[in-house]
Amino acid sequence: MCDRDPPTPPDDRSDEALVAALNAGDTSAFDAVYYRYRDWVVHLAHRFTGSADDALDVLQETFAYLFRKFPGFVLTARMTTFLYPVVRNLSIAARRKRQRHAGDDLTLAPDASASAPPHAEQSRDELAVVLAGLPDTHREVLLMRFVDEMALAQIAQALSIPEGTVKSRLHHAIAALRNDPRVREYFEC
Amino acid sequence: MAGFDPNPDATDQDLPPRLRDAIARMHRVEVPVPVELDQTILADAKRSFLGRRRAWMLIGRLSIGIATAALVAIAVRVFVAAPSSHPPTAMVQPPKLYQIADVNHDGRVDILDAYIVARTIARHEPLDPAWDINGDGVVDQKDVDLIATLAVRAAREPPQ
Repeated sequence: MCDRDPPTPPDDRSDEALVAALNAGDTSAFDAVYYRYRDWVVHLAHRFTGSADDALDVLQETFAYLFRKFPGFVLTARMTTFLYPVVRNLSIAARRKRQRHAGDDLTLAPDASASAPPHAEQSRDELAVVLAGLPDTHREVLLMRFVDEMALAQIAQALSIPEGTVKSRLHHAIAALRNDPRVREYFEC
Repeated sequence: MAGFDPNPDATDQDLPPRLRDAIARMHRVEVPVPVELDQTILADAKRSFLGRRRAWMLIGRLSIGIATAALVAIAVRVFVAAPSSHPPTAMVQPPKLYQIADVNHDGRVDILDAYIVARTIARHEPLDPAWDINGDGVVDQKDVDLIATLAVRAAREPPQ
């Protein structure tokens, strides 16, 4: 899903090639990396923060963080695996800052990751309510798998947990959905 | 980005397609990114990158220069230098060239003097005309190299 097409044609170099080019001083590779992951970062940030303004701030901070690592950056995982915890942590910080400034005395969820979408209350979407009822750690893995389309190994690396733990959390999340009468229809053929 | 992997690791690791799509649609909220923000992010990145790259190149050059000078000094000391009758702290009036090359005025010419001049050049800071060691009218890398050479010679024997 692309909010706005990049101004230059897509660059078909791999992430590794782009990183190598940047380390060698090819600043045009910044554009390629940025536009390749911009929308992914901003969508993820919005999911965490629930605010478009905060998501844009996180977008800027995320890429400032990434680009400060050049020259000399070594990509040891997929770019989304590397960026996920960065976006997550910046989003949590942004959300806390907004709540402090708003004088909101609502307690932050134990894990602000993967909170329910902003429209859940308004739309009374049962699926959204069911998802919001999942434990944060289970919901996060579920969304990383099916919204961010990350493989189990990537999720494990991004969250710094064993792959077995990822599978376990995913299993429990799916089982909870399957056993919930409000969304059981999705499991019926 | 890579598409969804239809081959999960286990049968209980997947969702029905309809549910998967519903969850994905729910979380893909459109967030327009202003073009000005794109430009700001990229401009900031390139600007700070170029500054860091210059610093890295300088560090690389200096590292090579310092390492080379150190190796030469060690080799000379081990294989060539004869014991000098002058103790290291002897008060010997150094020739004018060594006086000029002693940039930090610590009484000796060493690689630190070369580094000071190199760093000042790299930072585009004002250069002391007195650092024109080779007398060609300009303070540049050639003067840095000459200071390094003098430092090696000074390590071999005190200047006369």
